[in-house]
Amino acid sequence: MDVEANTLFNGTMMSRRAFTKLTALGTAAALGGISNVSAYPTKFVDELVEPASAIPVDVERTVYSVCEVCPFRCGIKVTCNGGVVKTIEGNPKEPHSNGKLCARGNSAEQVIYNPDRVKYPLIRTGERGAGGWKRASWGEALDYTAGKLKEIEAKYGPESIALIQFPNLMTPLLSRFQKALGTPNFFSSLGTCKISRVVADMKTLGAHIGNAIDYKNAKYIMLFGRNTFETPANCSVQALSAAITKGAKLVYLDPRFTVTASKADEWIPIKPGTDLAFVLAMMNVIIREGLYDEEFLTKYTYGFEELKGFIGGYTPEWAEGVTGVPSEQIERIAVEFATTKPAVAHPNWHPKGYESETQISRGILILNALVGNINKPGGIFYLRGVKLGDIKPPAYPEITAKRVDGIPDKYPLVPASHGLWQLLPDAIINEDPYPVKGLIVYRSNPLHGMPNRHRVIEAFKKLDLLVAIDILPSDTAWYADVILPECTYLERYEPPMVIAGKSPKVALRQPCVEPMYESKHSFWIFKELAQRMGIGNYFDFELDDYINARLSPLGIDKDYFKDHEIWSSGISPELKGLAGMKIKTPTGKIEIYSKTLEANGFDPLPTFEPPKEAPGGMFRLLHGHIAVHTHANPATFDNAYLNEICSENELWINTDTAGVLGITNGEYVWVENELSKGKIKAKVTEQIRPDAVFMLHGFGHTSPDLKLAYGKGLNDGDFIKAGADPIGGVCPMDETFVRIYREG
Amino acid sequence: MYKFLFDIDRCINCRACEVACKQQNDVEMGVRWRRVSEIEGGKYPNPSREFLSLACFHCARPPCITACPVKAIYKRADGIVINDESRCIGCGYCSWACPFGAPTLGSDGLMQKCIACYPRIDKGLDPACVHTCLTGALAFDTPAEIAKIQGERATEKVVISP
Ligand code: SF4
Ligand code: SF4
Repeated sequence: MDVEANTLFNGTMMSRRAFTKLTALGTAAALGGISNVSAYPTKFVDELVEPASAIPVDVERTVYSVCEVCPFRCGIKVTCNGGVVKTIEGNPKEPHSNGKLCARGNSAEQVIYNPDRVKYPLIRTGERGAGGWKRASWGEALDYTAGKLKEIEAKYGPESIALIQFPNLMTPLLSRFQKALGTPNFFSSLGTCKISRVVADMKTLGAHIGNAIDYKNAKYIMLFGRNTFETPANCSVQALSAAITKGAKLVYLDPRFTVTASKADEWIPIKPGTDLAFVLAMMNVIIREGLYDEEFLTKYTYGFEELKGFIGGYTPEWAEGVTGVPSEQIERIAVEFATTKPAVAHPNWHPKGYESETQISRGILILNALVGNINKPGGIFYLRGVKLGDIKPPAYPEITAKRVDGIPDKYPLVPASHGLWQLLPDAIINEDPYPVKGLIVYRSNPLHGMPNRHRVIEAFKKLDLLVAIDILPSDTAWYADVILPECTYLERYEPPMVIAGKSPKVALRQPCVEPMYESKHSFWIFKELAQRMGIGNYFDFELDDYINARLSPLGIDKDYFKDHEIWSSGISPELKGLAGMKIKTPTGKIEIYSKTLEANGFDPLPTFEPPKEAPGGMFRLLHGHIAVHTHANPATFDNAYLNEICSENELWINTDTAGVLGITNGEYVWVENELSKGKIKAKVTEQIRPDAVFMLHGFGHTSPDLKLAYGKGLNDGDFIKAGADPIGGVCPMDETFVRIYREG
Repeated sequence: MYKFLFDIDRCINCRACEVACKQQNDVEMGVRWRRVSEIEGGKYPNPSREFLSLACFHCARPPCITACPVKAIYKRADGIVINDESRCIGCGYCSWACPFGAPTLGSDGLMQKCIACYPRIDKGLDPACVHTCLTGALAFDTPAEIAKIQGERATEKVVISP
């Protein structure tokens, strides 16, 4: 057997080269071989499913498509030959990548050729979570799923079926399924991500602007915990690097010395949870010194006079006591920020630390407004999009049931299109306000991504049906009753992706090779389920029709992308300020003083709320990301290339703190709080504040079928309680305290 | 003649170069032709982190070539240093001779190393690592072009190009 096959038969990976050689040897035997050696239970063994011949296999082809190793979705240029993906690069015409891919995007072959992929439908046999499966045909799996869903619907009503998805290009079609089903309970993972930032943007600027920051033209950049260089935002990474190279000053606030901190001119290890105090003190200085952009504020904002009255008490001296940053430093940075043009502050992306996250983000947005740098070069800007078409669905059934997460009664400002998934487990366990008995999870891993895993398992155990639609046997899939294997992004078309920005563009995900094994397109899965559920009339079309309907307002169809790398709107990327723009807030202006917040009984101005203090002997547990991994998505953790670089997380602990606790670098230590207890390798370092500890998010996978990721590292979520910012809804995950101690 | 440039000031430890190298050259698991490493320093609240992305430097006078007893390693006219696996006996001398330990034994017992993506170079492309580097920390060019980049970046902290 040749070398490549050896690596294959060690069960470590299936390289593309191995796959190519084995296809030459006779794929049926080879695939059987994989299943055996990778120690799958024998039920996982599959015979070859001959690919249909829609995609030419024997010629070298280049396909322009869209990445999905992480949700940033860069444009990709894939070469394939012999029905195998050969190389992958960025699409130079697509602005998320500018022709350059990060480590994740480059690891594509370890997603498609991952031997851990779910190869055919599986139905659970033993106890939930015990790992007993029987192989099912698609017909059997779909009948089983639809049958169970119908039983639940008949017994408890359609509202007792909830759906969870990671936001993706198929979201509108899953949402169509949900609305046709007549359940209000549709969730994304934003409740533990950026939901409060979305709400802050909407209520302050009238639109969510995401990462729309013109770094390249900025001369002074402030990042409040926005660790840009270790995020998925490929084009922001490139732009920030370019700005630094051009000489922009970077001021970075974070309790941890991240990669971004290491590139900053000034790193401020601010006391966790006090960023807003810093921001308010900056505003205090800017207003006191008259350094604000009066013309901009008068013309385009509402509530500056109220802010003037409000800001008086938030002096730099006050902020020094709260943040631990010397008042002179705050004062100097405020003056630099207001006098260096253009200066910009990132309103944060992943504000999931505290109950006051909406107000923290609003504070930073208002800081940008004070210097008038909105929709101008070097500032934050409004995204320009493209309106796509649709296939109009038949009228949906009326949904009378309330959502189980308290939207809108308890959380009037949180968009129901995302919901607060972190509140779902409690709703299931307490049957409050009614039983949720069926859960469909699509391209998401709530067991790992939601806080408090033990509670999530408890909730899963109360379900009558848990369906996982995924490419990998995720932790959630491991607990499912049925796993429906989707094909990977390199094997499918998807609805077009609008790349909103200064000059909007549209890209299309196109298949590079045929789906492997028995994996199927999720559109087909939704459609088949819909038919069995009696709502097939909502899916009375093929995916191609849908793609073409989406594209029709642009005057193109899907074949356009056969010989075009991208569709460009041709809109000038120039940023021309706010003149003539319609701002979608109640006052038609940028709302420093939020009318909507006021009307809903919230503070209309961003009052500072101090974070909770760590109880004696405990440390604040912070979490975050590294560039090679994303979220709780096993596609990066259970990926041979990325796992080789970072296979396990460590507990960052300050050298002095470790000294007091007698902890040495590299030893395994206990982390414990009222929710969980676990061991993790200590990284004793100078790169974190003494009062906080940190671990990378996304480790500690519990599905034994994730051969590379299983059992490596610790899951930060195990220690985090579910909760919600009353305004924007995000789970306050940095209000988590743990004890750290050595063995024995 | 080509050589690599690595600009430590720009490198952000993103590892795109490492993975691009693996996928485009089909490098087996456990072997890395390019590897990024981190150097930590300083004391809180003034720590430092630097990142080094290193592969074979395609030296002007490669000690690996001198060390190889069977002349498996050779330098192309364009400066790229290549190990001919059909001649290699897997003795490991080149790896000891190389100041950077760039040549690495593969699972077949033979030596392998960065080939500067010569099949791409021959097509007029840049190496996969350079092509994907998000920050422009890597370049592969003639000494004159490299010197030009170094000149342009003179205001930046450190630029390495052996
Ligand atoms: S292998 Fe080492 S000694 Fe040989 S050319 Fe490369 S860097 Fe120089
Ligand atoms: S791709 Fe560039 S920035 Fe990223 S690790 Fe490699 S050299 Fe550094």
